[in-house]
Amino acid sequence: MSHGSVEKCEPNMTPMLDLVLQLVMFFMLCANFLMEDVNPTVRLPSAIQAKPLDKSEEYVIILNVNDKGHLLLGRDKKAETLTNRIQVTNYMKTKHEADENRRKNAEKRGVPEAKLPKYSLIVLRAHENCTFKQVNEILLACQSAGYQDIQLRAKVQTASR
Amino acid sequence: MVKRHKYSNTFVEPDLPITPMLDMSFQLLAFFLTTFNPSPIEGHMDMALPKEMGDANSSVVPPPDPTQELPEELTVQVDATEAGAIADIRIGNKTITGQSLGSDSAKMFANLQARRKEIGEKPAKVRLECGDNLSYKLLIKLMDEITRAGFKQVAPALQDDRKKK
Repeated sequence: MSHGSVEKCEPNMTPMLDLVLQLVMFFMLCANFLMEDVNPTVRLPSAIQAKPLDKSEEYVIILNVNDKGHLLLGRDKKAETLTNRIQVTNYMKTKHEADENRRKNAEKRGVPEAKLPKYSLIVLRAHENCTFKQVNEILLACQSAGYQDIQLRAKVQTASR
Repeated sequence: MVKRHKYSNTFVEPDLPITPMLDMSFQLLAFFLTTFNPSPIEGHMDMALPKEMGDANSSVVPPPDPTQELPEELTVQVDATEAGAIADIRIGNKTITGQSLGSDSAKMFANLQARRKEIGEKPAKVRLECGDNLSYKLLIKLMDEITRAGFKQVAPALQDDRKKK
């Protein structure tokens, strides 16, 4: 009894690989790796007039404020918090000193005044459930530390009416 | 004497192993799928800080330019309930406290739009004085409506105790 020749049957993997690589590319491009200072537990209020972020700012300090009005110092829920204005003011003063040192170092290197590094832009990401008084305390702390350039962050809402 | 190799003319198809590459791609795909977190698009609200909020001795705030035209300044006073909702809105200016508009922010929007038309192209600024308990969500909503009404400079501040109802 003679047997027929055994033919190897292989599925064509190439189109599948193409598709998978395209999916990988998509997720790689959409993945946001620049969110290290953003605490995902902070739910922002939404606003139609919220403007797109200016990515040209070199020095940005992102302040996350939870629903109790406490300043969060990390990304997760159990992050350390600063609960009163004095603590926040001291924290912001250290940041301001770092900014000043950066400027002084640039001055020493002979950088002209117009090109000196700017003071950091403060971006305040406050939870929508906190009160204005709590947000105001943080704003006052930033101002007393010497910061004048402060932005309030909101979710961009598409106009419905 | 140098030996010469004889090259055969038979064509050898290169065998490219696709399976390990596919395995790796699936692993990458699984990683990106599990870590994918589409965050909402964030933007920033324009805000002017009231002068009295800052340190009076601060050298950062430049003195006002006397040659520059002073902006028209309106004051929107917002009373808040204990729960953080809007109790009452009044629109006035530095000296005059405006009439009560109730708790509907749409009325404030319409009123401010009309005032913006009256003012014309002249620069204008709105000082938004809010009660302590007003929720931040509502503050952003009010700032949003004031900006949509045509006032680009909004300065939120806490209500002066004397002005509270």
